[in-house]
Amino acid sequence: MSALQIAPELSEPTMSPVLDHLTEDDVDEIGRRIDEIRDEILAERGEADAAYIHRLIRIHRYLEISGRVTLLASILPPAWLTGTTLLSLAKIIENMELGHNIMHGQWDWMRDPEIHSTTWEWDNVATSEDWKMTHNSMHHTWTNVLGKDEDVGYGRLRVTKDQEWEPEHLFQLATNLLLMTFFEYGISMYDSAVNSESISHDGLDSRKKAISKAWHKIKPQAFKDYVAFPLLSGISAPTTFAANFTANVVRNMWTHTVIFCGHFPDEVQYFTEDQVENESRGDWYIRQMMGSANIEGSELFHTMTGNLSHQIEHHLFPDLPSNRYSEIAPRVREICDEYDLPYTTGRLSKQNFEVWRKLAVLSLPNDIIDKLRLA
Amino acid sequence: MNQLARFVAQLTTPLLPYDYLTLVDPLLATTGYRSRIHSIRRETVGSRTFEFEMPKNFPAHTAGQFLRLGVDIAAVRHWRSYSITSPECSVNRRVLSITVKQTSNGLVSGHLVNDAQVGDLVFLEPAAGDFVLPPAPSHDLIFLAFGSGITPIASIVRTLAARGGTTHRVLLVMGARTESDVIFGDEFTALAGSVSWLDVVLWPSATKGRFELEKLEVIAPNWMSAHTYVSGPAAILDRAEQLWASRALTELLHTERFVTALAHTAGGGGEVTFSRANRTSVVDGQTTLLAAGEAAGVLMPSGCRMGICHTCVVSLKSGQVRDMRTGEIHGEPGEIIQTCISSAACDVELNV
Repeated sequence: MSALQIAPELSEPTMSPVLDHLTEDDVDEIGRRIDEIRDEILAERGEADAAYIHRLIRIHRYLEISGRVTLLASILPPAWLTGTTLLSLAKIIENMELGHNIMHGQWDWMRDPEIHSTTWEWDNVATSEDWKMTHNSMHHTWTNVLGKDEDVGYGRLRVTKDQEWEPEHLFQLATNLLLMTFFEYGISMYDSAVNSESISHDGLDSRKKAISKAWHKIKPQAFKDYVAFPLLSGISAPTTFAANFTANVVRNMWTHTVIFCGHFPDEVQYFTEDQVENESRGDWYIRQMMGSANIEGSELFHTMTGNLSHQIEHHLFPDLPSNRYSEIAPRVREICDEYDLPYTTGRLSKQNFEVWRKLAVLSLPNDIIDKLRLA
Repeated sequence: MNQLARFVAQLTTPLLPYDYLTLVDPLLATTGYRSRIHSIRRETVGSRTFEFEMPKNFPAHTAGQFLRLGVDIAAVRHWRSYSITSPECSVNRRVLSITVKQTSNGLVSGHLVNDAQVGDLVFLEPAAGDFVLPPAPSHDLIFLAFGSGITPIASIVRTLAARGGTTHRVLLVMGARTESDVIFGDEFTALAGSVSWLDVVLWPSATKGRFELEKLEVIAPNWMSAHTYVSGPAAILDRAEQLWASRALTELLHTERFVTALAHTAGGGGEVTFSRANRTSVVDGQTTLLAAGEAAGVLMPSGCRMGICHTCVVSLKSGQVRDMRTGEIHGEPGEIIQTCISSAACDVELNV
């Protein structure tokens, strides 16, 4: 029997039904086949992959330069629109296909200190160090385990009936809209809070330390976008200020949307700590697949999401180069089909609708939801 | 100027200004030293000399030292140490050269000798090493160079020649299998013919047999009062150290070794040194370096403990490690390794 099937205390089992049909041998075989995919990619990884990341880095830098330069004339509406678009694209690529993936160690194998998880700092107010801790270590290891993976609702939102209802959840649609707009600040605060809790045993005033660390990252980021470039723009200062603010918000809303569509559509499942006790490698892989959802789209779309549209593959192999996820995806799906496991995927519009609908429904307590037969 | 640079850095944060300059020319990077291969010259069948323009602010080397050279092979950065063969630099000569002999299964030497092209980007780290000439030699000098062991000695002899020679006698013995295998054989034979302070003896072992240190007296009657520099395979260095020690002359002998600790495959394990924590621990091949460090009370960074999150990475100073997932043995000085899925393949030193 698979460790994932043991969930005696859970009154409303969220995931066990789909797994009851798997024997321990099945789970081992799934683990073996997924490892096999990983080994194949590792064996092939080389110059073509390196060329991809180098190209993306060049594209980001040209987008950033051209956006910033165009915005020097942002007082002219066409320049404002063009510059803001270029800068938004630059920030999105920098945060997702570059920052997120490089900090995962996807490119560490090249041993290039310029493209390395230990040295990369991203164009985002959250510090790379804090983010790597909450994201790589906590979220990716304990994906969707309630009480372990703080990314489940980011401590504020109720995304499963198994989370206790609090009155603040009544307003969670508004909370989420606010979080979406200022996502980078939300992540920064959230990382600081989670990490200061986890290091509080060191006896120092860890909360103060965390805030000062966050401020050290926020200050230069804000200075660049809201002081330095507006000043350089002279007469275009107010419009450049607005353009930079807009680009940051566009990036925030896009990353927020992609991430929420990766973990909160309807079919995604959540787990309890008991369920993951004594997990085998196969169990772990299955949990990653059940706890993630993909978004369908074109090649350009995948690149613009940092290939997090392949959230399932990313969760199976967080440190494989992102440009490989699309070729892995059909093989993962085949395994899911063969073992009758759900493989959650859909267009952005569908996944996004499900996310917002879920947040709306779960803003109510469970008994009301049940009475109204909302879910 | 400094203030301007600071302001520009505030515009590019969190990147650095050079991250944009390198779009134009990768040599404009300000972290680490970079250069391009300026020329490639064939020396013998398996050896090539590579010349590089010296990067801006690159510290000058002392003749006999080596530098660390990084090259990207199949998109992976590899670092190796190579003796600098060019003489010490002067104001008007800012060129560095190394001479590389292909070793069997040598990944980097094979790449350099067979595949490297003029114009290839290389990464350099400043010269180091204490197999060097004293600033003003006060004794006769004997150089015994075997195979590619000639490389540090080449820089020393060229530097002496550039300084106009020395008032002491200099003997250079150059050993290789055949005469045509002697790297720089022609150059130094010609030099010996044109200056009075240098004698050169070629020692092709195919015809003359193995060079016996005990018979050094025949060609160098002054050997017990001269400073002798030996560079070559470990076996001859060992024999030299025994001989000089037996005559209580150890301080007159200088040796250069080119070996690194390589993994012995079966079982693995060894002594793990955590250098910043100043602790050591003896472990078997089944213990992760992370667990070993934690057991030894070292503050090891850690995360998922299953090889996915890269929180636990530290840099390797020496030795090699085994990836416990694949069994692959790897490790070069400076390589960043994941301690949670690596075990010691031999004695290992970690920078943590």
